[in-house]
Amino acid sequence: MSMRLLALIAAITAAGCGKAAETPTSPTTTAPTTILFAGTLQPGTTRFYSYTLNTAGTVTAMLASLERSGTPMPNALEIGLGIPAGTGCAVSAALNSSSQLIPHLKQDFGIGTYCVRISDLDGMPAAMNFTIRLIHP
Amino acid sequence: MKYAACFCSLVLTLLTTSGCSGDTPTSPTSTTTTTTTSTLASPVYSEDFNDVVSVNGSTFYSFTVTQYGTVNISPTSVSGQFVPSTVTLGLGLGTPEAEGCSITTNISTASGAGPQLTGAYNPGVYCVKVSDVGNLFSAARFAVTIAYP
Repeated sequence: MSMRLLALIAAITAAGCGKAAETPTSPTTTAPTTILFAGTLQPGTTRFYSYTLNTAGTVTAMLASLERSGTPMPNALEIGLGIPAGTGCAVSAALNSSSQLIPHLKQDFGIGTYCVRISDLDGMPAAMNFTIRLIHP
Repeated sequence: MKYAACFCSLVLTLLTTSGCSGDTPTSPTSTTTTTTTSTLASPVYSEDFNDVVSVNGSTFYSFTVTQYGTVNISPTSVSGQFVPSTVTLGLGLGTPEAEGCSITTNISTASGAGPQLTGAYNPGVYCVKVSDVGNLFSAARFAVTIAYP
């Protein structure tokens, strides 16, 4: 009888106070997302690219490269950040810039759908290949 | 034997009443349940999407819905050389993505009276895409009315 009792006590004590072991988790950090918007821009035209922000934060855009037949071009183009509207991108911040590898344009946005726009306002002599680097949270 | 059964009961009682003493008792909390009723808003704004769709091509138009409600898309006219007014075009609704419109709802329809694509949408940026579904022999000029809350 005493053996039965001991077994019963052991079973109850082993299973009664079972608390699931908690695995410690490391804090998570979300790395920024980089978008490369590349294409050919015809003289006097505009192109835009839409993207979605799932986290509010600062968006930066830069004209990373501008070239024609492999030759870097010094022309300044307008880079803008905004919201897709109608058949284009309604920009809320814009500046004229030649290609540089530093962030040119910065703006804070909430969660939503946005766009980056590139425009030739000064009239390039010919079509050029561009790359815009956009970094967002 | 009777004594053993009594002892066993006592041990079980002690274990079940005092064995799990690790948790600190907490006061009962009252839970407030908030029920949010989303009211479907009627279209308030209207925009006309007038453009040209080329053979095998497509074009899109973006608009912003500011509150949960009904979006109505009405193709009102199609015209052009060698383009019958009854020609069927692709009509889609979705969200702007990269250099296009990523559609989530799509129909093939001819222009006519009344909304031909309708649905309830949350606040956000959306787009309407008009495309040739293989019926065009030349570019078609079209008009689409977009009504949204």
